Amino acid sequence: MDWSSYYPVLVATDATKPTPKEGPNADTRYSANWAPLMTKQVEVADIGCGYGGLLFALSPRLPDQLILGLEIRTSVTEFVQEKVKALRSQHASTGDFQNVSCIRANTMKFLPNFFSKSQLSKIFLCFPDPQFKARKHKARIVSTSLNSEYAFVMRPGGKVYTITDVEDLHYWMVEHFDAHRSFERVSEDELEADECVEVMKSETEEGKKVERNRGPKHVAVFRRLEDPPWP
Amino acid sequence: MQHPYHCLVPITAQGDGAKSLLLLACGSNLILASTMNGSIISMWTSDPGVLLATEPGSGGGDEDGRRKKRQRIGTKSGASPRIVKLAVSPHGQHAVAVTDDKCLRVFDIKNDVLTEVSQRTMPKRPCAVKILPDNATILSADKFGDVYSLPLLPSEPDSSHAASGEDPFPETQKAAFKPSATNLTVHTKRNRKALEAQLKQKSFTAKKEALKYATREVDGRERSYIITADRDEHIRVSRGLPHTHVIEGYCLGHSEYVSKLCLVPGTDLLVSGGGDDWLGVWNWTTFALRHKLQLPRGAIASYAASTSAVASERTVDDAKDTLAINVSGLWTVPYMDSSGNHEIAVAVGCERTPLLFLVRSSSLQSSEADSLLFTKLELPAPPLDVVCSENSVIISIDNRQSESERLKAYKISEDDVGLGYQLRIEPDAAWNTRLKCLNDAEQEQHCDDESVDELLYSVATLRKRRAWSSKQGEYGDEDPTNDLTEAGDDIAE
Ligand SMILES: C[S@@+](CC[C@H](N)C(=O)[O-])C[C@H]1O[C@@H](n2cnc3c(N)ncnc32)[C@H](O)[C@@H]1O
Repeated sequence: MDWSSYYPVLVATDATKPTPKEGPNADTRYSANWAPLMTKQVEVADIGCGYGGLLFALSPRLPDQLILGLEIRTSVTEFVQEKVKALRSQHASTGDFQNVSCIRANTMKFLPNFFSKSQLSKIFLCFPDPQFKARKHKARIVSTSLNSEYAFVMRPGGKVYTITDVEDLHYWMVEHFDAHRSFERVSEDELEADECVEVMKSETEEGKKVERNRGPKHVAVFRRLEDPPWP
Repeated sequence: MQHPYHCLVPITAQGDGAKSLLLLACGSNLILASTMNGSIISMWTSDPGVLLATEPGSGGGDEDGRRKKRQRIGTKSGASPRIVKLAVSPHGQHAVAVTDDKCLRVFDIKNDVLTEVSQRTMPKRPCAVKILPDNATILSADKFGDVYSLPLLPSEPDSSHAASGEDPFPETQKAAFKPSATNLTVHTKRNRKALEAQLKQKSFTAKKEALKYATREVDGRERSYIITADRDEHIRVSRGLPHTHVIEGYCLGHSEYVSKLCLVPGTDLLVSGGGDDWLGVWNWTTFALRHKLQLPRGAIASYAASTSAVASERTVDDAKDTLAINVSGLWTVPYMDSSGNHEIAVAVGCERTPLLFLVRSSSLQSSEADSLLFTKLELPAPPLDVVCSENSVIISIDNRQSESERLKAYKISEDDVGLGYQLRIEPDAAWNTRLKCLNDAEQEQHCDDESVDELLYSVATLRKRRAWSSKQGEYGDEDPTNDLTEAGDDIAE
């Protein structure tokens, strides 16, 4: 992946060591396939980020980490990208919001194209589309197989944050992460000490909407466990 | 009409039960043949209306019940279920056939007789099946993306779970399906059977088209892996049982679907093919793409143009920018080098193309121009499957449009007259004589060309309707359910 246009100030100044542009296997014999080296890698992913409320709230709170929103709708992605641009130029003097960006992606299919093994420390799944009909459940962004993919791109100790106002979906997500051997549920006590939980509740667009309608907010957080030793 | 043989599997067992047989699928018939003289030893059909004289020992009280079941299940069209995939256990005592009624059928072939011993309806039709080296576990993968492991020989209901106090695979379908398929939503007996089946199976998932089981030694201990490929261009390497939930890595680089995978024995190389016009040569232990082996477009194009039945799948776009290559088969075949050593070549077939290309496994990573590396074998009709017996290569072809035999045997050797990378391919007279019996056998099947086409040529349908995403070189498409909705029947309906 070429991240240079997403996080321009983080392009390594010593860019003599380029990295492959498309995945780890691009044919680097051709310079067109080189991407500039970055000083940092994305560590926090907001999957289905919508209009990006969470991204902009996290940016000052996690100043040393690169945060990326992934969104499937082109127009919404463009909106977020424009907003990133605007915020960056407004804050040019302080250099704020350089650590946040948004990319258009169908994460149900292409997550491993964006992140390598153990790259992420946090994944946010905030108010995912509920896909109410049973027939549509396979389109939910939490499933046994997708959880294996989330586990792949996450480092042990990293956390998946989920929040929804749909009770059925909450139980669905809890059930699937609980059943997955790469994850364990994080305790209530730990949630209280984690500021990301509060931010996720109050700063997402959906979170605000639910607030206005006095709807419920179901939160569940899961920790990526170490892989078992080989038998 | 003679129905082509569309799946071939060799059965070889050493030691006590030494044998050398060939298992062939021909529409809804399964045939066991001897490699000694090519005679048909046993036959089975999914067609309940056909009584098989060649099926001794399959009688017994159970038969009636089974037959009724078959009738009940049937396929929508009323035709009898057809075999879509075959696998044989390493010790050669059992075979598994997937039929297009979503059934996994296990056969006992111990006494050289095809006896169907079980029939399990899967939630989705399996598209790849394998019996693991333990001779006791089936891995089955469906197009929707689920990979199941299930016992070859089902034990009494639930006893397996009770026996092993702890569920070794907590990642079961229990969770995945509970909300959508409760007892309330499952109406038909068939659905309930499928549901019960999935509740018992342990699974992991990978969106997949091809499935390989690989092992390698690390620090003196053997590790097993499951390698799957899918229509989203990914080749995924996961751990084998029991830690199938752990993904070890992805071989990324294809830009079209991947339909076939082939492990090169004695190396860490994996060859992949599908909708791209090149084969991927990977080191599957490091996930690194070692070489993109360009397929001979020119040769394929000239044949594709002359084939009457060129894919109905082709979109306007495809037609415009010339041909779309769909790799429909990758096989390893033996050949003899000029000093008499046994070597391995990879054989490549493309859908609806009457050619087979061979490339030596030793030149898979060669820096030589790719076009020089392939030896082209012209066939009377498109190849469907390839199987090796001793040092001969048997190719089944779609003979419906030609006068040719359905099965043809060849011997491959190194060309000692200095044709560089080329291989010499000669008809194998001895084997061709042996194949006469199978080639002449008239197998009663009521089927029309169109339905046979559908059975034989499914790979091209994986090609996606590429929207703007390829244009922009981005990963994604607007509708996350795009591939999911067409992937098969729903369990809850
Ligand atoms: C209900 S919105 C929630 C937006 C945001 N997370 C919030 O809490 O305000 C769900 C978002 O997920 C996006 N989405 C759905 N499926 C997706 C997929 N497969 N990949 C990426 N984004 C997806 C939708 O386009 C939509 O913007």
